[in-house]
Amino acid sequence: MRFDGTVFPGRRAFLKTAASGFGHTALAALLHGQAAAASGARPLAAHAGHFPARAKRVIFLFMQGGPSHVETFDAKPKLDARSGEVAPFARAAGVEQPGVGKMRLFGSGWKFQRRGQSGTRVSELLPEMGATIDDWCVLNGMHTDNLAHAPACLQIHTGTTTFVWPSMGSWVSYGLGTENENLPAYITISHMLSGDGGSPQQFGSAFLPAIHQGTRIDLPTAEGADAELRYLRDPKFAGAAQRKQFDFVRGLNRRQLDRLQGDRHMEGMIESFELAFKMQSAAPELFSLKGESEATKKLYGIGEKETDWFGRQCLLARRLAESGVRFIQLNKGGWDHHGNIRQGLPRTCREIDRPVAGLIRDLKARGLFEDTLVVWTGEFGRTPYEQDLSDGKASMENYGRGHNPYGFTTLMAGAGIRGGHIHGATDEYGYHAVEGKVHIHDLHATILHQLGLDHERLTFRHAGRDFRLTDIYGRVVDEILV
Amino acid sequence: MNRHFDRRWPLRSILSAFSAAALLSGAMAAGNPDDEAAYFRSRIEPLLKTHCFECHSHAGGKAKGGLVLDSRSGWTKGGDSGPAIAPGKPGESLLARAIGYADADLQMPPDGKLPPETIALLRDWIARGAPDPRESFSPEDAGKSRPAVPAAAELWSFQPLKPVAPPEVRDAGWPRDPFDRFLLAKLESEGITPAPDADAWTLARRLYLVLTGLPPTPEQSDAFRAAHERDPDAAVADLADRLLASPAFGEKWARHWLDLTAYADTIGLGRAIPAPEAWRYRDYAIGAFSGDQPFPEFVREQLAGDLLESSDAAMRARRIVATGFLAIGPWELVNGDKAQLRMDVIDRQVQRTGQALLGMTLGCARCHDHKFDPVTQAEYYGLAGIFYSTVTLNGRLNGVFSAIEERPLPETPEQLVARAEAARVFQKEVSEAESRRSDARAEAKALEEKIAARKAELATASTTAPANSGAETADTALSELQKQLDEANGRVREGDGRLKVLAYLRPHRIEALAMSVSEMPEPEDCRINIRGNARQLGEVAPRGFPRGPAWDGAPVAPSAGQSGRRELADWIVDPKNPLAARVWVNRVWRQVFGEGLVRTADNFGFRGEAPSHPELLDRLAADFIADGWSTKRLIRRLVATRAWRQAAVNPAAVASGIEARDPENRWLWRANRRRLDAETIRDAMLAVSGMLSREAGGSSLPLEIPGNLNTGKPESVGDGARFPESLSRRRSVYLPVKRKGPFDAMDFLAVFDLPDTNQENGQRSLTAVPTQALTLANSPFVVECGRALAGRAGGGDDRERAAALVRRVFARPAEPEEIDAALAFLDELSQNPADRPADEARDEAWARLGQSCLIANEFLFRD
Repeated sequence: MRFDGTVFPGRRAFLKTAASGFGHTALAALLHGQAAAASGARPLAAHAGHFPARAKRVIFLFMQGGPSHVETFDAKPKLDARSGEVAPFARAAGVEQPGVGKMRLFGSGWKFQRRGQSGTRVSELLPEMGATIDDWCVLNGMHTDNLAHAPACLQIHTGTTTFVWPSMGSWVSYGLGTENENLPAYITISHMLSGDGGSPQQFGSAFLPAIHQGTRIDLPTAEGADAELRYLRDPKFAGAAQRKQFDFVRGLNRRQLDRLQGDRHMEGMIESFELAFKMQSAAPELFSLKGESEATKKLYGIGEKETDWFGRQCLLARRLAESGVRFIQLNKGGWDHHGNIRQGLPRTCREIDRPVAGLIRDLKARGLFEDTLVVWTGEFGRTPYEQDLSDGKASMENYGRGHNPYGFTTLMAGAGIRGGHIHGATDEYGYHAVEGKVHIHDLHATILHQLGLDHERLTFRHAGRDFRLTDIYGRVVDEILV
Repeated sequence: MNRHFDRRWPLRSILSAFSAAALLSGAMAAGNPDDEAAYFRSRIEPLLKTHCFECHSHAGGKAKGGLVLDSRSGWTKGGDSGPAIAPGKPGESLLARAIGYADADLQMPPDGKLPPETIALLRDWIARGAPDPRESFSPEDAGKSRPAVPAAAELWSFQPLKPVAPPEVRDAGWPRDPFDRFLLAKLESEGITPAPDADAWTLARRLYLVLTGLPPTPEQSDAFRAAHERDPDAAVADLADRLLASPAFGEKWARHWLDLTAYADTIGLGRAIPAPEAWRYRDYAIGAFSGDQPFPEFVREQLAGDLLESSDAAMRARRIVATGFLAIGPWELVNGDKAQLRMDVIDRQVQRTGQALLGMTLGCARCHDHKFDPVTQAEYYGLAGIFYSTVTLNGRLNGVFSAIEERPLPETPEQLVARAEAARVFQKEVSEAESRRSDARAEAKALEEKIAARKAELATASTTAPANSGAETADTALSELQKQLDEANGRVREGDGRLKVLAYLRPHRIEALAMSVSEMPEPEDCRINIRGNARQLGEVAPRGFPRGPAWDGAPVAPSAGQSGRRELADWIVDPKNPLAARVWVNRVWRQVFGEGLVRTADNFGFRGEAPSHPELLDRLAADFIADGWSTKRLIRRLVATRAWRQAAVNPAAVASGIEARDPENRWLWRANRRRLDAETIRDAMLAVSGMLSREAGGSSLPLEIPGNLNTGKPESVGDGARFPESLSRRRSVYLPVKRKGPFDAMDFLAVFDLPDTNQENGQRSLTAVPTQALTLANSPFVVECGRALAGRAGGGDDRERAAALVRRVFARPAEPEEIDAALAFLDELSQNPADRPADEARDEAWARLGQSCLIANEFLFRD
């Protein structure tokens, strides 16, 4: 296999996919400068990585805003005991944050309990996730480079805080292709597009061929609604009538192509219409949760006010995983508790607790847990000291926390990850990661590793150099692998 | 021999590790700093290189654990576990611990313990205070430990332009321009005959699309065909002249330039913070192409327009606007690390200048010397210093958000009069909004009183008759009043929103402002940022120009007292600069021919591609310069070449097996067929369906519509921003662009490979993906165009209408079989209309026929 921008799937892989019914179309991404791709090259065809993989796919649960680690998975008794005192440490230099001048410690408002056989301490805010804690590896030594949402969100998706580089989902699509070419290899559900935390940049393919960019589908928050893909259908003109139109256009195109002695790009357009037609019939069925049993829906908290939306995201993720989508991202904001964290955090936790636990239980029940890598993370954590945006007008109970890129928590599960294990630690107040430090680059290297990809060898030549997801950094965190 | 040395260095281990020569130089170690440096260079650095650099250096391309050992600051800062060395204290140094293999979790190198002598040397070095002269990451050192970067003398694009005479050709009757002879000579040497000339229909469509981005009307192609029959050469020349003079030319060609500048109407990668004055730069670019501004002036104005002498207010204003080239970009205003933000902005300015004007990937030298091209990190920071001495972001917008620099434009007396009138109109608008709101408030107050009165009445009634306790909800008069109150409060809220928007718009309406850069009071050289980190500073890099593309008498640095932007511009467009003219003529060639002579139009470095016809490229550049750097005259010559007028098929050459030898048509044995770019697809759909608005220029951010502008601080533009009808039918170049991609209403463009709006891009990609097909088949925009197109196919019977439709879309007469197929499609689609009248079903079928033609390859591509 070559990683220079053109991917020629092996003959065996081609036959296998063709035989399973997905191999009729060839989507040539005719990227400029990559025009060497032979006619019939299928950039999305599944192909093997650098070494045998533990994970066939990734479900990436992105908790945008920065979940407070000291109130969820990183218990800090000393912080709790000294809550309200002036912090015995200095704030990190050279950065600006409003409302943190007093530097008073701010303890967790909630108790931690030892859960599971591993006895991992989990906040009482997350009882269901606590019940599945033996399936998770808790990485308490995470750190990242920037304390503003936009750059930090960019980094967790692309590795860089600054540049326009491909998203990790795009790298995975480029590196492995996908098992179902009737669907995009990389799907992100209700990805935020604006504000400080969202941007299409986060699921963009940048300089990789455009076919590897994430496809954003929208899951409406209205109860019972199915996910939507823009322009998937014209409600006034579908089915047989549209088939007639496609056939007519195909006739026009064929006639012209015959006159022209063939043209690869034009053939690609013709084929993309055929794939589009197939997607039109495949996607609505896949997106519909109607066929799921009541028990399954209940498992995810679907139908209950607070958990319905994220529950449907999680269930949809399982359906996409079963259908061969390679990289599935779920998105849940609401973690940016600058103020009123005592009121805000319990609600956000409730919104995800049952759905995430339900996803783990369902993946296990269906035998998907073994080869699905599940990652739960924010773009950073929150400060152990209080943040007061009211200029002293509000009481401490109404305060929140600032952004903390120096230490936070990420969870990983499935596909060869050590369940019930804790890796790394922050200092006694939860400010800086001090042990088992794992940078975003290391997280990326580890995700690629579980997929059978060597982060140092997965490269793409652009603007005169070979780029990789981990830039010049990255270490596979083998301490957390089985 | 040095006492120090004697005590610490057992002779045997030294001999085992080093040659006698090294021993001698080592013998001079310790004492003064020079000796310390020599000691480090001869003893320690080789060990680090051999055993550590593979995983811990820029040269090795890795920083395992975040640690690099190729600079002093590398180990001072250390990696994830903190500083690697505590000078003077081997016992407390992580590095010493790691190489000692004492700790099971920390053993370096991982593939085996070092020999004891080596460990002793390194420990001793630490014990001596770890002298390390590499104060910053040093380019020279890095050069030694990696494959040598080929010298500037070996890079073709750095060599001076050579005057080249066109070669002799056998078929002297074929060429129309000396340029043709370069191409034909190559084809003849390969034994290939060029393709026949394209027919008049194809040529007309090609000319219109390439020069203006709009397809010809049936009348226009008829006229061209008639002229072409009389005299093909004259017909092409005449039409080219007319198209070059049309406003559509500037609109089409400026868009390519905007790609190179990552233009957008918002700032910021996350929030869509509006840049309400960015449009002036877009209009500047359109005007520059329409007016055929000589390229050197175009470059000088964009890099240093604020520093140039101007003869009048209009010229001065234009030149300030032109610096939008540097001022407009994806600045992450919210970045709390302001030192890093400043360097990130400067980096984009260096990159953009290098890429757009020089075809150099200068950004590669931000963190280390360029790995492939002769550009050092010091040269990068020499250029960065020029922009370091320039103000781009200025102060704070709100809290942590930095502000962009907007400066007032000088105006002519007529403009000032017009502006005073605009200010008066604006003030009137504000007063009206205020009075509407206070009316609504008064109304609401009166209604509240009435409601209170009515409630009191009802309460009295219910105490007298307790059975009526539900009276309030049942009372129709009360619910009517409540409805009126809600409505009045709605108008108050609307008024609040309107006034907030007006307050935001005030400066932009009553003043003429432009996004621009300006000079720092004192120019200042920049210090090298180690690994691109603005907080890890190395040596000062004096401001200067890259040394690679050099020529006799070339200046190397700007004079003191100014930032150097003006002199940088002069250096770039110096007729002897080998890059600027080559890069620009190649871009023009690419736009005209569909592919560049150098296909990597943004990269003329070693990792770029060499030109397919180097002599032709030099001749193009030389003629371009000699002809006053006129882009229009260059384009006119290119479209008049015989090579450009070829058909896109060449059966004879294909029969001779050319596709095996030159599958990508680099020798130009036929015309390149191209899919239309995103804007051209949209504009052409609007044009053939008669919906295109030819309104031009001015602000296009739809901020006037309440609800679009989020008036929190800082203001941002809503995702689902609504557009006035007229705006959504304008040419695509006038649609507002968001940093994070197009507005929803413009997502049509994104689907067809509109480049990332945050990335400078001179080589758009072309993809064929199913989302395009879905958009073509199902988006209301295309369906609406199809309907309008069918509606203007004119009178006559179905056959005539179908022929007219095909003619309009494909810009050629319809063939009988095509009409047959179209009629069959119409019949099939309007069969059995169970759900509606037959004539309605027929109209719908016509609309779908129109749409089908618009989504056929023949419309989406040009030959």
